[in-house]
Amino acid sequence: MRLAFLLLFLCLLSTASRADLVKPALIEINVEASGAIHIELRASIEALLTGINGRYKNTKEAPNAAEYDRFRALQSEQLALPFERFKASLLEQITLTNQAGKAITLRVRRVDIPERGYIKVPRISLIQLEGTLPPDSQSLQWYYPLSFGDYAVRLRQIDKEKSLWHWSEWQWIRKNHASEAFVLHKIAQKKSLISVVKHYIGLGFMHIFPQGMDHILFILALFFFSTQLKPLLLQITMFTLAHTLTLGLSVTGIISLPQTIVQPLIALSIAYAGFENVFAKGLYNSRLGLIFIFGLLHGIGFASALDDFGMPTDAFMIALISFNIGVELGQLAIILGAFLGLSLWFYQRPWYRVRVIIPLSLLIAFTGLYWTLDRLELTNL
Amino acid sequence: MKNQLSVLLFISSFIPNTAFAHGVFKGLSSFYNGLLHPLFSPPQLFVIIILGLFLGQQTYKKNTAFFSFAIALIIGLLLTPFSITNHSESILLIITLTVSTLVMLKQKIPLPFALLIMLLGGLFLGLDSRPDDLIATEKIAFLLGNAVAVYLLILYPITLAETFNNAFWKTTFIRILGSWLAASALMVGMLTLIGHSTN
Repeated sequence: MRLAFLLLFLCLLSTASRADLVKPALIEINVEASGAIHIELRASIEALLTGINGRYKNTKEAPNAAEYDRFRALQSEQLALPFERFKASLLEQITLTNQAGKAITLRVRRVDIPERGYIKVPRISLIQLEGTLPPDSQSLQWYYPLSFGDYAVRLRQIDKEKSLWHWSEWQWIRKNHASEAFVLHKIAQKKSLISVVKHYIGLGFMHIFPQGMDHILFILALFFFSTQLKPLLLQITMFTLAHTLTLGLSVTGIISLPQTIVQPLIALSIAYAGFENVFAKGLYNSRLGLIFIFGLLHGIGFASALDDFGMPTDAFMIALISFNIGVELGQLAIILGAFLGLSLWFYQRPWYRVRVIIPLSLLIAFTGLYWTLDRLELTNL
Repeated sequence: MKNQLSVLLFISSFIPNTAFAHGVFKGLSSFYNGLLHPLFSPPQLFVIIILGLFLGQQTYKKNTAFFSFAIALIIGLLLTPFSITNHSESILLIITLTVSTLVMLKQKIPLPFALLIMLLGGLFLGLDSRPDDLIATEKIAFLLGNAVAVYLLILYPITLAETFNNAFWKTTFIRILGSWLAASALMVGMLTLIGHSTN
């Protein structure tokens, strides 16, 4: 009977798919003392073309997911063609205005579309725009419609003659309104240390909960291994040590592994942890060793997320540590949630293992297994 | 008891096809929406609680009945694309009324009947979970979230009824809960009936 139950769950899972996460666009506005403006817009052209924005956590949730997948499968020169037709619409919808509300005419200078690569992660293209600052401009405001997605924008004041430049802070825009004004006549103010810490702790936490379903499932798999505190603490400690290590090494560029390898292995780690919960008789060193190795992989995954948000150059370590603290808090929240929601009520029941641990561990395992196949691009065969 | 049951069933037969929207919370992913769905759908929540209390009250080994419920739930969810019934919410309210009567009366039900009740409850819970306004992949995530939520939610009333079975005041408390659920189901049914007649 339980087998039938599992098979039915598997049927449900078999059509679910993990696609690209919808990532925010990054916009850097460079303003030279001469008045020349160069803008670098990093975004998924596929998402722009299909209108898949931050409303969707995942492209698969959008009604035109198939169209996105079709664009994502194109080679760079093939994708350039639909973008060429879209260019005018893009320029119509984004605006850069000065304090008097005068819109600056922008042109597309160049578009760099990376090769197709691993299609399970978004392809971030670079769109370069240019324009000229009107005389007497004191500040600039950027507008990018919400239909294009969430975005982060910052401005760089450049004085080529004196070889000086100053970056403003990133502004994260998640609603359909323009950025705050970037002042041009005085040096951009830096964010306080406290606000950097708060910002990156928030990012780390959000990356785990609710956005990081794969990390959530892995942590739950560790949680369901035992009702005892010691095995849980040992597993979480190994996982934390490992992912902290690779997060630091990856973000600083010391180690680098392609996402084509990391992502399927992360999914496989979830499947392994889930299956072992069903069959393992106790916590052996081999499981701890494997959790350490899996933790190393998850750390590289965290680092790729941090890449998307960008790191402040003057508070790099603070931001990195804060992000890691956010990740730890996210993990603790999941463990606390599982404890308060499940274990506290049921762990003394004679059926706890049969009705809770085994079915949920198997659900986690099959989900991980499916994600593994999906990330290896085997589900479309 | 027969008379009481007949009256309840008679009243419940008047409950029309209800109109609880299976909408979504904007900003949440489909899976999380599915997880929350049973909590915001009164007929589903009533059935989950009453079936849990009912199963917890029974004294025999309950794994068979429990997993029958889980399998029926999944079958119901898998059948949602076929729109088998438009009356699933009404049927859920009828099931709530019937089972809450059994809970109120603290009836010991033979295993085959208990199995039947759990199967019907699971099946119609699944059938009632058809999400609106979602595309195929979102629907699957929604249904999966819904399945996990229903599966876990029913464990709470089971635990409560199993824990509260060793003293008179505790068993009475469970029976009172059953009567409240019956009253709530009736109220929801009547409100829906009024809603339909005014539209």
